[in-house]
Amino acid sequence: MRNNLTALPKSERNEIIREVQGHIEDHLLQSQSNSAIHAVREVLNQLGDPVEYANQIVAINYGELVEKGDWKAHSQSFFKEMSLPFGLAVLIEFILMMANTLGLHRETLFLSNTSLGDTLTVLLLSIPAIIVIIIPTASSISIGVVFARFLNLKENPQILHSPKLWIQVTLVGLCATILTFSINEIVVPFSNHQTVKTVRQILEKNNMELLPYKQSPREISSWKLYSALEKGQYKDKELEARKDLHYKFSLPLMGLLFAFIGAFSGIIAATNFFNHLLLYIIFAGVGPVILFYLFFMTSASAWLPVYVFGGFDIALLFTLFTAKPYTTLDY
Amino acid sequence: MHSKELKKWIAQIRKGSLDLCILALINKQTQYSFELIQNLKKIDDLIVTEGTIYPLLNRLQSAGLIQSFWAESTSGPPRKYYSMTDKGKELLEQMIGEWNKFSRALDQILEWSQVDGSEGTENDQPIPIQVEKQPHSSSKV
Repeated sequence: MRNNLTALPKSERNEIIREVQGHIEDHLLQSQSNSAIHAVREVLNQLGDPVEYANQIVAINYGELVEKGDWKAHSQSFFKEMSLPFGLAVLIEFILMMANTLGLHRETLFLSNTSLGDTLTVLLLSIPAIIVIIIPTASSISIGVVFARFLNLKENPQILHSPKLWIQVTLVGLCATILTFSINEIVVPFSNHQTVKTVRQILEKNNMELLPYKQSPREISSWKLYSALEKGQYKDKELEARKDLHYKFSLPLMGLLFAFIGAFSGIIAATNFFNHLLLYIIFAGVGPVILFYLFFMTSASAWLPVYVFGGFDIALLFTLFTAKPYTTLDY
Repeated sequence: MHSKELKKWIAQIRKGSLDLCILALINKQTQYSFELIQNLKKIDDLIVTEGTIYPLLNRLQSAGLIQSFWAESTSGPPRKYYSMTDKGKELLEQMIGEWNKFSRALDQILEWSQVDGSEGTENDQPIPIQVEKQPHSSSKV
């Protein structure tokens, strides 16, 4: 029950727990059962599912929050609910991505003359690129979890229709986008360059033959890459083709993403009028377009619109498909 | 056969009337939650799950209909007592009036429907132009 009341202020949460504890103690004092365990079981059975009524209390609290329209309380509740799923998503993704980095560099890192320091350097240098992936995905997942929780609050999910919540969600998405974009443009090319240098040093230490150094597109920012492609510094047909496609299609596709996914989902959510089948058809139709768009991008930084609207869309989809219908309270 | 529907219906009635019962009991006497639940339990079938009372008390308090305070007890743990606010008293009065009106109307309908158990004369009855479709029946009409 305590775990499910985390959205409430600590004093209020303690008061509710204290009251229920008092109820249990009172029941035990009056119980005529010979067995203490039996008496405890009896009172717990009569009290019912603690998660369910903790959710009801939280829902009432949110109902009040929406009525009073307190920005600070809105944000506290939202971030409190978001922190645990965000932390868990970051942890799991971080472990998986680190394992992936080890896998990618396994041929170099497991050579006989590779020191622990070299291995750690390569792993540390991969952190910026990992952050670029973790921030938007963990934000999307945790926002989705929060929304699902709000929808599962049985009596008062009005919080979902509060503009103050939507503005904050958008701000979180925007901040995640700007941060990711900045890291991807400034830090990641540098760390990629350092990784290449470290890997070449490891190969040298192991007396392995090195090919002449050639700067990889991953070692420079996307702006510089565009400019280099424009000047014809990269004679790479694949990159050229991607650049052309990106120039031709990124803007209209961004518009499509916005109109058919972001805005449409927003309207559906706001009016509370949605049909799963309809939504599925729209996503099934737009999905291949998104994949096409992502596949032909020259750099991850062009994911900008996807971060903004994708986060919102994933959250929304998650909520819609995990939504439970209202049920009559079992009085 | 109809137990599921009956249970649903009873749950709806309870849900709709529990606020009134709680307000009426607290109006009669300031009391703590366990005491309130015991009083509700004295009336058969009015409450099944005790835990549902706490969110309800929380809601009534949030709406400003009741207020609470903690007090030490000589015979048990400290208790959270609930008492009525002026707003709650006013609403309770209105709720009782509405309940009485509703209850009288319902009684009238039930009395009328059971006057003699007859369904009127044969001429009063509408003549079906199609055979009535049975619920959950796969047979064609």
